[in-house]
Amino acid sequence: VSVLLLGASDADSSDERPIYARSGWRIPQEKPDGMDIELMRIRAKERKSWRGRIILRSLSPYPYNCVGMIFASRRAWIEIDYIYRIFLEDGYRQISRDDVKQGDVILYKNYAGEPSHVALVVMVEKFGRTRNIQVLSKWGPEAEYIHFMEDVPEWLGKPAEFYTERIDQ
Amino acid sequence: MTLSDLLEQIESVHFAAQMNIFSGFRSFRRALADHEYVDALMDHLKRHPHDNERVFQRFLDLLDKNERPEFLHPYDPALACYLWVLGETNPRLAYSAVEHALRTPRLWWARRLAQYIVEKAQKTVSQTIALGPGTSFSVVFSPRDQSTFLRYRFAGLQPLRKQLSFGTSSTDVGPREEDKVDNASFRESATYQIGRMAG
Repeated sequence: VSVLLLGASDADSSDERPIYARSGWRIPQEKPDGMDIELMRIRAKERKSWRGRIILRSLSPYPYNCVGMIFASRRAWIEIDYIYRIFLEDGYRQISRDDVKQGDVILYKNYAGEPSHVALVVMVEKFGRTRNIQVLSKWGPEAEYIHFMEDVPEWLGKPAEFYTERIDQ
Repeated sequence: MTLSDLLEQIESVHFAAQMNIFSGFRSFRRALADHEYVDALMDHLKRHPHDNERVFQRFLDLLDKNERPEFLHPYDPALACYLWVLGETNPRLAYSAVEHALRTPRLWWARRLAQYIVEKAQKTVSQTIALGPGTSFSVVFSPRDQSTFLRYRFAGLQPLRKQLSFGTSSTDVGPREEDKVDNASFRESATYQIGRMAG
């Protein structure tokens, strides 16, 4: 059975700049339109009212997402559904929470167990046996935040897995 | 809560700020399906089915409300929400809304949801009309006469086109050069056809 699919994404257009994983695999990307910075500012303020501890780092009219921020230098929208393939093709390995260091990646999962978000570790604080982990995190197409790893809206899920491509010293 | 109150909530900054945090369409869809505003609107429409038309009209009004057309539509999350709700409560209006959404530039979630509704409808048709071994078929939408066609391919036989009349039987309309239909034309025309699929 062959079904002709409709509505090909604009990501198929010829002006797309290709992005490759370290293995050479071309990472699929989407291409949302640019956003009004004033509108993003209003929404960012609204989010700040929910979670006072989050720090707005930047707003960008160029619509990349969390995966694009980490794996494509803020240049692309890459669906979170590709995240395991990207880990694989980029040579990442899973580590425990106790092994997390700056530069590592946290994968969030929603209540259905699906990957919902990724964030980049920017600080690990140790207080006795407690470890506070701060991340740089892009929420959807709009804003980058710095926050403690648990400080995300419920729908972005919870920190579930930790990954690194570090070579052990 | 009145319908106006519900619509106001869905078009609020609060809702847009909540719904524009996702990095994948699947997560967005899941959040939409679980959102309390969406639940409330669906409940309302089940109790007051005639209000589906008002939601549809509101959808059309919002589509035109992009004061800075060089940027992503400011009501994109709300538009996606209305599409979703109509898809659940009134497929006929939903397909008409899909048609408008696919023709409107600067949509992101709403456009992807519209495409999702189209693809879901196609799969439904494919699954409904299962053929035996040695045969295959494609669902083909013609941009020229805005009809929906089913293309059969039987081993060793010429392709045969049939016009579908959804919910009833199909009628022969004779062979045509269906492969001239390219993706760009499909994007333009798909929603007309999907509207017919709803019958």
